[in-house]
Amino acid sequence: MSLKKQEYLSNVLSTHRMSHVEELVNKFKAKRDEVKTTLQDKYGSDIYSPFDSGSFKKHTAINIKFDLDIVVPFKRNSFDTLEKMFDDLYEYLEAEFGDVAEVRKQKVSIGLLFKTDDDGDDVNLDVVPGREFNQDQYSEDRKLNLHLRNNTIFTSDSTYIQTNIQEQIEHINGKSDERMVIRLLKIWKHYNNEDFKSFLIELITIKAFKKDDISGNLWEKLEGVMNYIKENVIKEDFKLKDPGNSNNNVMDTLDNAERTNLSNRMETLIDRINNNAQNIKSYFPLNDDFEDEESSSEGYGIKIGSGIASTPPSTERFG
Amino acid sequence: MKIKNHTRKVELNIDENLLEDIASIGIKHYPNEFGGFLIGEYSNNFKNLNITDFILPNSYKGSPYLFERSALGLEEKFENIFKEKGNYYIGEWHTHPSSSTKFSKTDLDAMINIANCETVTIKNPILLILSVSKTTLNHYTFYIYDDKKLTPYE
Amino acid sequence: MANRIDIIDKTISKLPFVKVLNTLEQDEFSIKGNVEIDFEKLNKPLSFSFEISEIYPFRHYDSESIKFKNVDLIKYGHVMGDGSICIHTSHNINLKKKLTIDFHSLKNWILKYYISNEDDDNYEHIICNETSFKGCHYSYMFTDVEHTFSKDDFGEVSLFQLENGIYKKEGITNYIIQKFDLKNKTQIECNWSEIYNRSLRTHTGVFYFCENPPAVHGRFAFQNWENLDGYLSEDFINHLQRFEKQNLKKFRGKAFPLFLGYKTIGNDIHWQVIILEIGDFPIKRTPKREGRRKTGDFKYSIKSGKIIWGITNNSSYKYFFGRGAFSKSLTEKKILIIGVGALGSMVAKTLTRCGCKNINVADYDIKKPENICRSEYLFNLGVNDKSEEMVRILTAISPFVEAKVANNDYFQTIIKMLYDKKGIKEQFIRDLNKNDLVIDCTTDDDLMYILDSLDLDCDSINLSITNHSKELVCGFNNNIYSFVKNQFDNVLDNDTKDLYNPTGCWDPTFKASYNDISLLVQMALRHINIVYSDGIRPNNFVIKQDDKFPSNLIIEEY
Repeated sequence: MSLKKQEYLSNVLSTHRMSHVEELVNKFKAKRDEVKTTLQDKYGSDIYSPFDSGSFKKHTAINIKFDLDIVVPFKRNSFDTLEKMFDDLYEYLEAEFGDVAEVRKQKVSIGLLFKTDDDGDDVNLDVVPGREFNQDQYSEDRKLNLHLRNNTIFTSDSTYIQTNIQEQIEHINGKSDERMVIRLLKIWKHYNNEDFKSFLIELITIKAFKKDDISGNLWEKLEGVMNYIKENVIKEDFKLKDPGNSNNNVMDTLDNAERTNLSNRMETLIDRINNNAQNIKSYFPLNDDFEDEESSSEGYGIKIGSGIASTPPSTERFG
Repeated sequence: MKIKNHTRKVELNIDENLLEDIASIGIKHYPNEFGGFLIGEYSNNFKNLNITDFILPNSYKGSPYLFERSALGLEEKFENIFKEKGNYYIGEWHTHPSSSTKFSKTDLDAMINIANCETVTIKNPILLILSVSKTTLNHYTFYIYDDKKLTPYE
Repeated sequence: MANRIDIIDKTISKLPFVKVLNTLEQDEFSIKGNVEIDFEKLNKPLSFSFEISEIYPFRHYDSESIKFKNVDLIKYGHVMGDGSICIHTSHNINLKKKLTIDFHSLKNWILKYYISNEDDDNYEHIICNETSFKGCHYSYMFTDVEHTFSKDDFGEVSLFQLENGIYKKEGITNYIIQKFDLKNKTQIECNWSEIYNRSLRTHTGVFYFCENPPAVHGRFAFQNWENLDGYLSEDFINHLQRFEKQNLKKFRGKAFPLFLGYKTIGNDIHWQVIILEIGDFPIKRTPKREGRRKTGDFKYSIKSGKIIWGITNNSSYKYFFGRGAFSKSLTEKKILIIGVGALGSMVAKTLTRCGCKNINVADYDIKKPENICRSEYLFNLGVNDKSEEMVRILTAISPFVEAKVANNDYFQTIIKMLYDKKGIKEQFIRDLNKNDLVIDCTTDDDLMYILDSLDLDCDSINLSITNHSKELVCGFNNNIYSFVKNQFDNVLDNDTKDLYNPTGCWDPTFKASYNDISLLVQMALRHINIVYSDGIRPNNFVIKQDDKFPSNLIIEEY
């Protein structure tokens, strides 16, 4: 087949670049900064400086779905319990932003869904509150306890989760090959309504690069990672350690049926694409909103989505 | 033979024999203009273009100052080249008999049409102009098209 | 070669539990004899006469050509009115082996129904000799109701007449029971689809719920009206009498159905119909007396006479689809089918035959004679809106499908103009989400794009086939547009040159026969049903021909 999978995938990535939605991103950032400021005003010395997290911070965002997370590290003596911390933050955000946004409690965060603006854009932020274990301990190791609501994430019925979000961000730092594969898998997940958590995709991709020989062009790397997922998620002893806390095994978020399903999905994907390269296009579609904006100033350009023969116009006249 | 275009930071390769073949056909049509299509392949990073072949039109009109070619009947050929070798139609060539290798307004318009044409899947088509006399190739220039402009390779 | 009668004699004599009582006799058509069956578990031997017909060991129509009879056993299960035992046996073409099998089957019957006196979980109809009335049969179908009848409930039934036909070489008139009107004015609707329930009634009958089957041993229907004396209340007999009187002038000599209801298994009830003749009801009157003086009033009671049993069939959903249906998780869905051409009509019809209860169809197109050869449309219905005719056909197939025509223009113009307008888009989403499943069979790329972009909560399926019916492409819930487009544009080798152009070039269509298309559609629907019944994740799929053996189809999931 003549479709060059690696070229095609690189087009997929570029049509999903965040730079295409710069204005929207700026709106997100503006909102984020506004929220951060109000939080600092409200909680003052009860908190350490809030910091950014989420896919945008990790450079794994895709322009069809991305979120900006704000982590708010509370000091030990700010609240008696994690639940009180969570509820207080929720009530404050509700009071402050309730008229312009839907404020809702999520698993470990409070979601702010700002009302659709005149451009038709929806801005949403997640605010993640966490509390240090002991007085001043956060400044040393950045570890936090997060309040866990309606725990379905981990098999234990814990109401909190101990982690280190800074460490999670660090974990992916400088891993540009991994990031490309992560973004591709997120694109697949988004278009195909797959149920898997982005965090899981992130960790498993990084692990694949570490444990397996993932090399070659973009397609070969993606295929390598998919193969790794296919073969490993069904192994009973396969673990994915949360870089923020090695006691958390993120594989525990999947039951056996989900593990098998993930493995099967990977197998189907690899088979179909290797059977006919064109199938790659439906698993990893281009973001057609930005197909035409691709004009870089260097290199020979190929019109996006082509992967088909080039034929000249029927009649041309030269002087 | 390798030449460079600094505007788009790209390289172009062409085998000298291939260029000679093209020129000799152009010379045959002297004093009329003549031309055809160029076939090539890009490197993985799309920084390098290797011209691998050329195709002659089935029908054309040539005079000393004008050349009009038709691509009718060749669609399948271009498709096969792509299917079999992954090579693209990457541009055009024609002769300027007893004249310079500077492109004309007509040439630029033709290249704009080509770049905008839906069936053309490349964005930066190549234009090769060969200055020929009755017996020899005087010189030639490769141009790359980008955003309604043609810039030469050096 | 040994004589047939000797072989039979020798074979059965060898069986340890069988004793041949006298010499076998042979007449023109059969061999007859008497046997005694005895084995350990029996207190005393049982005797049977048996008759083996000429075609034995083959079966005769759908009954055995060997008969065992004992009229004294009539009260036991699986015994016919004439005392013959229904044995469950198996096929064998060898006379000796078949005899051995059949006598063992008789022994099994004794063990099961004579010794253990087992009751079957399956209800067996009472055995009544259904006969015609004045050269015509009367048949009535009934279904479930949301009501529990009590003993001696009676009232009128509304009947709706279906088509007439031929039944055992005589005429037959077919009806369904639409409603029961209880005497105390409660009206009980039957669980048919709206169209059957709402159609104006054409005939009337009466019903009486007697709780127990009007039959000897619970199995052999009474043959004479006298047997029903005591079964029917006086109130009811009076009602019947009045009814006859009121209708005598207008309907004398006409058939009139009386439905007798009784419990079968669980909460199920059965209605067995008796055909009465207006003017000849089996009712006698005797003057009421006070002392020796007549009061002028009469007492009405049943008089002797032969009962004419008519035909009734339980056509409730459970029986109607008892032999096979799709999973409940599919049949209970509210389904919208957009586009009822070749594919869509097959989908609609198959879903209906497999028990789906709620199907709306939309199509702007007209059905013409040239559509019939590869769709489910009928010639005798002439030219129609496809959607209208499809609803008629679906309704004709199943009395349990609510089939309606959806707004035909909706998907052609309205949604295309307005789908991305704020406010209106949300309305479309709400409208479409009223369905549980939207099946798009239009092969309209625009519509496919719009439906996909609306990101509906309900399930959605897109079905299309490539030219010459080489492949069927099914988008199932996720990423439909991108998947289907890519299959057609890049993956599959869809021949778009050799299309069928019926009239001019404006309406080309793919080439394929009914057989080609329905094969693929059936396979796709089978797979979809499996996905629903197993609750597995729906994935897009393609049905294609095997490279080596094109008649083998394979499903490739994506």
